[in-house]
Amino acid sequence: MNFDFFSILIYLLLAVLLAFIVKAYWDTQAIKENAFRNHLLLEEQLVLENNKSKMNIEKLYLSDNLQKSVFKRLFKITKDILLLQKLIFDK
Amino acid sequence: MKHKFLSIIFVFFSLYGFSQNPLKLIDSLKLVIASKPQDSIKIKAYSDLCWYYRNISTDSAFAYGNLALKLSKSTQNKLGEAQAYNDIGIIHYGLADFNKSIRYYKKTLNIREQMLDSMGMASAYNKLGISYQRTFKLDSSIIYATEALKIYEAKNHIKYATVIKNNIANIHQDLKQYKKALSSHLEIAETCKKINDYVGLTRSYTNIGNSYLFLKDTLNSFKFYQKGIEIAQENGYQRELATIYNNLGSLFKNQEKFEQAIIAFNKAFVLRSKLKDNYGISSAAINLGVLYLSTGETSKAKDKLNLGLNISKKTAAKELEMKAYEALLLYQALKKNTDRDSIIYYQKRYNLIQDSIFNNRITKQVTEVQEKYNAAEREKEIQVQRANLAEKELKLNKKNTQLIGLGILAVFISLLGYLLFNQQKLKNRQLQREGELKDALIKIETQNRLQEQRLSISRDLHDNIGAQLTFIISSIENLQYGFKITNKKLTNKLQSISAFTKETIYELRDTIWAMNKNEITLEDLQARISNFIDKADTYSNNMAFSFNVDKSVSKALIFTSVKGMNIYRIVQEAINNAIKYSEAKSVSVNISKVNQGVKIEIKDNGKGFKPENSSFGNGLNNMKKRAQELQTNISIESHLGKGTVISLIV
Repeated sequence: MNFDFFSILIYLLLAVLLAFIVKAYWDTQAIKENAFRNHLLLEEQLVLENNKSKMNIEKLYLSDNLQKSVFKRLFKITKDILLLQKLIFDK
Repeated sequence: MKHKFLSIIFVFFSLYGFSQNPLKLIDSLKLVIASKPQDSIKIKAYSDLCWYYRNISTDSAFAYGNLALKLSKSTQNKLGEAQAYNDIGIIHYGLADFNKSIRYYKKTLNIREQMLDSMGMASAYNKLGISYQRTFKLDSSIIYATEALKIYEAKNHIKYATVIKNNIANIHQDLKQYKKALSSHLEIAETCKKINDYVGLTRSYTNIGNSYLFLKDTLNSFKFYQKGIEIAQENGYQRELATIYNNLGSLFKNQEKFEQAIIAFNKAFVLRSKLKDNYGISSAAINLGVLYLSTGETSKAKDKLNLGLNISKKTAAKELEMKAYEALLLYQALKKNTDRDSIIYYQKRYNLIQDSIFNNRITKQVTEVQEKYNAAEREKEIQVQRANLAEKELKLNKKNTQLIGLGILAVFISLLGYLLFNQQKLKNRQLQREGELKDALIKIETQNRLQEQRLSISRDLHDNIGAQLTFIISSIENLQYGFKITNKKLTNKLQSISAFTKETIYELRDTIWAMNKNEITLEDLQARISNFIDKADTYSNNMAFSFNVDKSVSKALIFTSVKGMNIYRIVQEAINNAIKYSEAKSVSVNISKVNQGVKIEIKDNGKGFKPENSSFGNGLNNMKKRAQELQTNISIESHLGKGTVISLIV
């Protein structure tokens, strides 16, 4: 086959473009892999934080209930003590 | 079986045929054909009949040759077809119709080449060489003879190679290269002697005699002719003998020994008549006619010359025809009562033939030159056209290459663009998703921090409350024992406050226990319940408590802190109710495995109550509320005098 300058130029360009295509493909694959890894990491962290949040919510729920109950009880104790005080003073 | 038998008979006849006379052989072959043998045997028989008839009846020979050809073609028997063409070619050669023989030999050669039959090809080349020699196309003749020689030498067939060498030497002789021809013939004769090829030796001696005759060495020429005659007579080589006698006649004629020459030519004439060799008969008759003219026997001369003329006309042997007219002219001139018209007629015929031969040669030469010139011109034109075509093709190829390259380039650019666009899109999408996730993470982290802060404050508050409650209990106990209070009502009140405060502290501790754990296992819950039952057992003297956990229940079962706390509270409430209201002797807590999960059952053997008549108090309502939070149903079964069973499945 006989090649002139123009043909050689075209085929050289083809070779360069092919190299770029391969590089672009590899880069895309690398980006995909990195993104997948980061995404997994973030999702794991999010799940952990969500779990933590759920537990905190439960603890807060318990705490709120306890507070309500304890305040009721404290009120009752205070009332009883006041009644006791009255009883002592009556005596 | 029949075919095998016929084949054996045929082979027998074929072998037997070598020692039979031709007529007997012909009859035998006809018998074979009449027995309707296989096609291949039939073809062979037809070919053999053609061969044996060639010296008896040329018409019959042609007929059988054509039959063999037809059958071979119809049965696609290439070997038979080649053989039939060969046989027909030989008959034409025998009739001095060399152009036709060349045509048939070429057909044979074509088939043999297709069959890659090298020996058959060599035979055809040889026959073509001889036929071309007879038509004076010596260049073609030498080319074909050389081709045949190459094959025979390659195959180491000395005998056949010798025959070809002999033919080539004869061509040299026709080209008047007598010394070269003589040395070749002498060499060939030696080879023939070595291999005991007597036919070849006879022909070699004849050729040596001819070469010596052309070199004017009549003594040696006569010596070799004599040697040839001796061998031919000993072995019965009729054709070779006729040739030698003819040549010997020419020798005697050159020496002006007319009587001896007439004897020799007569012998040649008789032998060739027997062999039906038309060319030879014509040649011998004309030679005899010329000799009779020399000896003054004009009537004999006339007969022989007319015979020679007729046969030469039939066989289209122009040289002989011309020779006959020349001799007839001489005859007319020598005749006593000269017929002038005849002289003029023969003169005209002689000139005509001579002109015809001359014209033929000139026309042929002119045609050849013209053809050569035209061929050269055409070749040049073809070369130029080819060069132009090649140049155009090259340009076209270049353009095609460039177009293909540009096409691929466009595809590559598009592909690269697409890949880069895709890459960018992917990057953006990934960044967006990552951003979303990070935002969510930050939000939840912030929320968690806030919750943790709230929990921390709660813990501090609970600790503080716990300390204050402890202080209250301690103060009440100090008050009770320090001031020695005897008032029963006062003492009861103090004990009631102390018990309530202690209960509050326990509740506080239980909840803090649950809050400090991220998750509560069944084992934790079991320990907690067991601890509670122990305390209950301590405070209730008339009540027996039991706590059973089925072995099939996995201790690794996990609950959230709220769930664990709710279960604990339900059990606690049920036991408290039993202690307070059931008047039971025994209370049991059972944990077992069921299909849906784990069943927790609190059972007492107390007085029981009617659930339909009883409006549920705070305790039972709390239990139901907690069960709802656990997303399960609580079952409360109670009958008067039969105790109460409270169960739930988690």
